[in-house]
Amino acid sequence: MAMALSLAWLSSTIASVLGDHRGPRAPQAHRRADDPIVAAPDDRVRSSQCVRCHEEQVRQWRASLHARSWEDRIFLAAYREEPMAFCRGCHAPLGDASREPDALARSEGVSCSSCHAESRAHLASPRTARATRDEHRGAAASERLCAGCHQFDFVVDRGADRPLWHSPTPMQDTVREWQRASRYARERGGVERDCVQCHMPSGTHATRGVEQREFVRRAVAVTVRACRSGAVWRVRATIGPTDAVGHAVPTGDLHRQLRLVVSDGRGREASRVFARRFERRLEIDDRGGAFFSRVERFDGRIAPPGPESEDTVTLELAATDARPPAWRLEHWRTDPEIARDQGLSTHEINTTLDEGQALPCDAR
Amino acid sequence: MRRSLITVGTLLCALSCERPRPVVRAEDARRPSAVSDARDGVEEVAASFDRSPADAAAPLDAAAEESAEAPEPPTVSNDDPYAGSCFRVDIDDPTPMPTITVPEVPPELRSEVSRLRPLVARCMRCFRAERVAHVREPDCSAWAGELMRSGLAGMHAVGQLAFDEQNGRMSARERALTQVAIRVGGMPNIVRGGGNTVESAAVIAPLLASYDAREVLPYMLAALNRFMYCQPPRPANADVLEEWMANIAGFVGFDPAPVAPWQEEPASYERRSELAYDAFDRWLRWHRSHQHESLEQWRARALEHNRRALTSPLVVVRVDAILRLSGERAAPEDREASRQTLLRLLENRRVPNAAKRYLRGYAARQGWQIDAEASDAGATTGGDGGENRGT
Repeated sequence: MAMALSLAWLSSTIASVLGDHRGPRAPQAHRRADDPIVAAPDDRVRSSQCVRCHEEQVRQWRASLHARSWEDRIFLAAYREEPMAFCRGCHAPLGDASREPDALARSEGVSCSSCHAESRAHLASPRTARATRDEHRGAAASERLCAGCHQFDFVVDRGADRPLWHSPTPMQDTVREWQRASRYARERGGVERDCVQCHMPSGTHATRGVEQREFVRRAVAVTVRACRSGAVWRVRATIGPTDAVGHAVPTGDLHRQLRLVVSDGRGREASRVFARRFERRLEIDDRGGAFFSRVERFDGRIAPPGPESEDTVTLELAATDARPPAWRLEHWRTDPEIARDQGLSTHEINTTLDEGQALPCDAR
Repeated sequence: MRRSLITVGTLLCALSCERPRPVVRAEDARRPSAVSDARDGVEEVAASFDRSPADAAAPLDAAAEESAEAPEPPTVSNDDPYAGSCFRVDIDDPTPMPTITVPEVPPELRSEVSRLRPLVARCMRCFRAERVAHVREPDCSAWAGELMRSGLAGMHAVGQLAFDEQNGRMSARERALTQVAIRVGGMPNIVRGGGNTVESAAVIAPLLASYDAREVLPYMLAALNRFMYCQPPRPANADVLEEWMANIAGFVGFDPAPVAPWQEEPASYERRSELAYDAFDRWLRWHRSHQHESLEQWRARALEHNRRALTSPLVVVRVDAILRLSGERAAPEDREASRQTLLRLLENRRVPNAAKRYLRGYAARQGWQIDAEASDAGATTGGDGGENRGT
């Protein structure tokens, strides 16, 4: 009887944490039913508690996108359209995913306990229970933790009484991309790096990522040459990942993209978009219903480092100037058309990573 | 070979279509810019496979051969007030395109079609979001399922609404009904301003494609005709056109003018749009030639086309054939031939890396063992996938 009750309690606790909308959720996955944070939601660990002993880490974290995971305007614009539990699980992990996050969950974003939940004893009694270094370098530093929110499928919610339907296509594929890049690095005798080594170097909690121009710029190598052919500049760009990156570029949200733009300085431009492309597929479910899923048609991003990761792109531009065209590499945090519909401005979503003048094709 | 295109129906469109705009203007087609002519790509590929452009552009099947037929006078449907208003003429080659009319609803189905129309309207709203998989209305799935099971009447209901939406001809009642469905029915209020038609059209295509191919093809082509010649061009349109064309190719079983997945994004919007028009013309001609054949005959034609396409000089044509001959229902010998073709492409240094990445992913999903060393030997230093439609 006691066993049955325990199981029931455990099951309801897990359900209350995970909800019926099991989406990406690494932090919760690390919590257990006997975790005081889970068992007593009002005792959620706030960053303001951690700052007493970990001032530097909390200060760094506040400057990161993790701290703004809920308040980020690009996320909020998308969330307004699709306010799903699926999103809340990762963007407001301190909240109850089955309902709108409260003020604390919104303001904390992905905060200390989201990643350090393995240190359960320490979080419950920070003054007395020490977090061991192994705990920090273990779960909190592993790709498994990151995978909870950076590796997940498209899902379809078919009602509360049914489990989520998972598409065969990942919505975000960052960790698998990293695994492919790591395998390639191993095969070449190169250096394998985990998520933390690149995104939290030297243990900084000011995670580096999509919002930092220089960090993203270093991930991509571009060489642009232009040959004049009559009245047209034929621009040939070689583009691929550098050794500084361990996944595709861009990675993460499906709408992110790179754009290589060549221009003649007089308003004429030609461009190539590097993004994932999807198609809709009509699926039939076991109750005779039908729904649409998304499957990836082609991954047109800069591939993770590998034997075939470098691409050559040819663009043409009217030769209105004797000088070769200028080029720039833009990083868009979401699709510009979607952004326009969502009321986001270009400067919020677009960063020029690199730019220059195309080299004449015969130049050394 | 460059064709400059104008819509002579522009003025008429202005009177009859909701938001009339010519799709490809003559000056656009001529200007030297980022827009490359579709045939340029053929020449590039032909060169890469040591074949002349003429060889590369040689017709692969009857669909291409149709284009050489004698001119015919254009026909206009009396049933559709818009049918004659939005067509184009190639000023360099005044051979008129065959026109396609909206199928008529058989009298015995009319009441059932009327009954299903509100269901279609609600369904369209269900799946209109950018992330179509996320719907909060639990009945959406059941509605779509009911439509798919409703046979010919369902097909007509979906097809008719496709036209109504594209022409802004939804009745006031239907508009109100869909708005109520959004507000009261708990559906996500995610309809986007200018992209509504585009998004719903993208959803209609796979729904239509779920019906009997022979019955539905005229609807798809007629809707495409309307969509392509009476809508203002905007970037998303190229996506939708390609999605519609892919659906047609899916249920007919072959693609007379395939675009490889890795080629879609590289192409500029203008180029993609022009390629879509080229493909559409081919479907119109194909339909004109084969509309009276049975579904079995269509399938036999498709199979024959795809088997020949495995040896095409064009990478894109070969890849399309691989995809169509290696599905679950494919014959073992066709699957094996597809696998062998894929391996040869991976070992070919002239095949662009983007294509190889795509093929590797496909092979993995098929469970095909790829010898990593052998195929790595085929890695190139890039390649822009300049090959184009399999003309």
